[in-house]
Amino acid sequence: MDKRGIFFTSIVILLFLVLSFLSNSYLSRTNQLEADLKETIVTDQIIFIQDSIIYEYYNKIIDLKPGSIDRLGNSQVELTFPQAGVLPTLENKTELIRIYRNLTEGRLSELSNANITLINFYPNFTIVPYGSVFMKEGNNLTFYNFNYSPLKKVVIELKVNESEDDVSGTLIPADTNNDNHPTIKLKIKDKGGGRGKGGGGEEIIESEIELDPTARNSYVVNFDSGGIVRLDFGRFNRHDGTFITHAKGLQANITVFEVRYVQVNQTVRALGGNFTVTKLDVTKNSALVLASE
Amino acid sequence: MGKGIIFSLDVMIALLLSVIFSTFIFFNIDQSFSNYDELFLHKTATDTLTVLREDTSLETFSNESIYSFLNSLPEQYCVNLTIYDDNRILYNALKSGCNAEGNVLGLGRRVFIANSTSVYFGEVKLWYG
Repeated sequence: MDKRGIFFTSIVILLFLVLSFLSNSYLSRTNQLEADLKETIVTDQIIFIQDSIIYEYYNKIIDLKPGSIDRLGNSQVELTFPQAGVLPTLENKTELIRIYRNLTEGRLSELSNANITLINFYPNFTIVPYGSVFMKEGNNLTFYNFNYSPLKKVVIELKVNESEDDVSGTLIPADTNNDNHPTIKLKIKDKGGGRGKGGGGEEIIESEIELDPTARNSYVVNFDSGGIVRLDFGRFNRHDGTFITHAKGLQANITVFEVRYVQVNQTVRALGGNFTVTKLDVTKNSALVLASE
Repeated sequence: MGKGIIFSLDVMIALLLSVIFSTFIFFNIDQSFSNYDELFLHKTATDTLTVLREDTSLETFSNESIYSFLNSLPEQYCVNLTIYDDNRILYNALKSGCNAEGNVLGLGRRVFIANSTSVYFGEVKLWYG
C-alpha cells in the first residue's frame, strides 16, 4: 500500500467535499436571495396598488378632505376640513366609483395576478366612534348623525359667486335657546366688490344658534339670478340630526367647515371603507383612514 | 503489466470522481444567480406612473410632459406607456429611440380617474433597449 497515495487521494476528496459544501451553501443563499427579491417585488406591487387606491379615493372621489381631529379644552373633539372644496361638485360620483371598483377588482386584479377587493368603497366616509357619515355629491354636502347626541357644534362658512345686492330673500330658522341642542354657526359671504363695498366679501348671513335635531330647520338665501343656497339641519332624508348644505345655480366655496362632538375615550378617526390585496402568499388589508387624531 | 492496469484503473476512478464533483460544483454556481434587474425595472415602472400622476400629465394626457419624462429615463431603458379606455388603446407613448417591445422586465399598472368623469387603465412596460 502506498501510504502517500492514500493520503493524497483523501486530501483531494476532502477538498472536493469542501468545495461541494461551499457551492451548495452559496446556491442556497442565492436561492433565498432570489425568493426575497420576488417577495420584495410582490410587496412593492401591493404597496403601489394600495397607494394608487388611496390617492384616487382621497383626491378624486371624496372631494371633502378631513384635516385635523383635535381634542379641545372644553371636553370636545373638533374635526376640521381645510379643503372642503366647492358646491356644486361632481354629480355622478356613485357611478364613477362603481366603474373604478369594477376596473380595479377586475382588470387590475387579473393582469397583476393579484386579488384586489374593495370593501364598503363608497363616496362617503364615517367618523368613528360617532358614526357620522359625510358625503359630497352634486349640489349637496351632507352628513348624517344617526346618533346626534354627541354632536355639539357645526361651523360652516360659504363664499358665493353672487353679490349681496342681488339677494332676493333670506330665511333663518328660530333659535331654540336649548343648550342640549347642537349649535349651528353659518356665515354666507358674497363675492365682494359690490356697490360701495370692499373686495373681501360682504356677509349675507351670519348666524350662530341652537337648533333642534329632530325638527326641520332651514336657512335659505335666494338670488335674483335664480341661484339658491340652502342649509338644512334636523329631520331630513328620514333621519334626525341630518345636515345638508345645498347650492344650485351658483358656486359656493366652502371656506370653513368644522364639526365638534362630545369627547370620548376612543380614538376618533375618519374611515372610508377598506380593501384587501392578495398576491402570491402576501396579503395586505388596509382601512382607508382619511384622518385620525 | 499488472501494475499498469491498477494504475490506469486508479486514474480512471480519480478522473470520474473529479468529473462528478466538478459537475456538481459548477452546476451549483451556475444556478446561483439573482436577477436584480427585474426589481430595479419594476421600481422604475411604478415610479414612472407615480411621477406622471404627481405632475398630472397622466390625467391630462399631456404629450409634452409625458415624452419629456420618458426620454429623461436612463439611456439603456426602453419604456412604453399605454392608457386604455375599456379595452381600447386611448393613448400610447414610446420612448424616443426604442422601436420594438423587448423582453419586458418591469411592469407598472394603475387605475385612475381623469377629468373627474372617466376611469382609465394605465400600463408602463420597461425593458433594456
